[in-house]
Amino acid sequence: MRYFLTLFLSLFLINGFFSSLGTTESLPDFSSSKHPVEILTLLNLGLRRLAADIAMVRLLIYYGSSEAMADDLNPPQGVTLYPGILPRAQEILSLDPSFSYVRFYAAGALAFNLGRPDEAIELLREGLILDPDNSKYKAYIAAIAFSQKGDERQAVEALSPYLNSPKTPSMIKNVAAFIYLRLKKWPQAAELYQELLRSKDAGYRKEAKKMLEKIKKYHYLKGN
Amino acid sequence: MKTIWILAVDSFLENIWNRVFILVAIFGGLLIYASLLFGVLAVEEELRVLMDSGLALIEMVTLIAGIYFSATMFLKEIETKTIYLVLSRPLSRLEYLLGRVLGLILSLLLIMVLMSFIHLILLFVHHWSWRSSYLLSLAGIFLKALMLVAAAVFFSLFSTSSIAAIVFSGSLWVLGNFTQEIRFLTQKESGLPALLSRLLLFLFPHFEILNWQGGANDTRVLMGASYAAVYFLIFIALSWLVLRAKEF
Repeated sequence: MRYFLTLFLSLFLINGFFSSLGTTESLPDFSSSKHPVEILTLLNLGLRRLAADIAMVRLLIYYGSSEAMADDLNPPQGVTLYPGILPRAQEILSLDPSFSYVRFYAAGALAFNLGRPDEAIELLREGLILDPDNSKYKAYIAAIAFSQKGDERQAVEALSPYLNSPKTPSMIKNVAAFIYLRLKKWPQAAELYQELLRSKDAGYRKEAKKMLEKIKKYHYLKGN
Repeated sequence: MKTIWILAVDSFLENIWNRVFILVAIFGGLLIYASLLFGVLAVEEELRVLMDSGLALIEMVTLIAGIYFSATMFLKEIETKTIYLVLSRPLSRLEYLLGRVLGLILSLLLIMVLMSFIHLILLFVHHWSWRSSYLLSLAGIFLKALMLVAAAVFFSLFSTSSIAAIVFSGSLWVLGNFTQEIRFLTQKESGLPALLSRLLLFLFPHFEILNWQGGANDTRVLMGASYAAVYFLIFIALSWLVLRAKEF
């Protein structure tokens, strides 16, 4: 009995000791979520990253694929399209703060497609606090600021070091390519559309193919 | 040592020819294959989702199999009276316990290797490039399985009921992943609720220390591995005390 109690006490103390070490991971905020049960279940089975993945898939489904065409999104006055993007992205990032794809994807959608740069900057600033050395956040913030001022040339230049990275969401590449087109920088636009032909999103591949044909037909090959 | 190894091999062979074991292995493999579908939904993050869902399934199947086999193994031997035959030989109860547990661990390793093999094939097909952090993730899962196996063996010997042992170990698994929330409560609350929450931190294991999927530094790995080893040894020692006191 004495050994038994000693062992239990040791177990008790060891649990206590290791609990004090803890981790720096944040706790998710479920206040904005409508269906947190599956996320909570995964979280309590220790599957935090998978919970973040499921929440991301839900975000992608929520936003759908129509974001590829920025011009398609002209909401009527006073109507906020996709109001849940910021809270959903924040929920995912509270599950896995290192999930940078979500941060850039949501920030890009908010700033360049939905015309809500303040929300995008809020998301990027949160990323910058967690990872101050990451220059990609600064570049995105700069690009959004230039875009707000109407200086598209500077905006796309701020993003340019990251546009060929496979980790940059196709949506951002598509927006940048579109800006290059507006600026009549056909080679840069063509290069980005070439890159988008390798995107895993069929919508972007289709759009890139169409735009490349246009560029070849009307501009680039004619030497403009 | 030789006796322990003979028992371990015997236990291992018995487990792998068990229908439940074969079903678990096939089911795990199929589930990992099915995770392909989930990956497609993630479009550009398909590889990450494939990685996470595969590792999550390996973890769940390994832990479920670990709990089930640990909770039933000894009680089955007691019910079928096989234990009399084994213990009538020149063999201590500690050797018997260690041999059986080692066999069980080898069986779980086999499940993990089989499932990881399928998972790695899927990842390589999707142009994944090898990273050693994959092995680290598997090591974390394996250590969690060790902790739960030891606890389930103890519960099965102590409660003499497989169902009770499965329920206790399953609860320990879930509650062991609650510690971050409990820690949060201890910081937010005060007085008696905070005291009770702090007490819970001493009672439950802390599996979050072994969640190495997102990468972990050497200190975290060392601390986690030491914690799992000590936890395992304490529960094995407790099981030995119970087994030693049992009259057959």
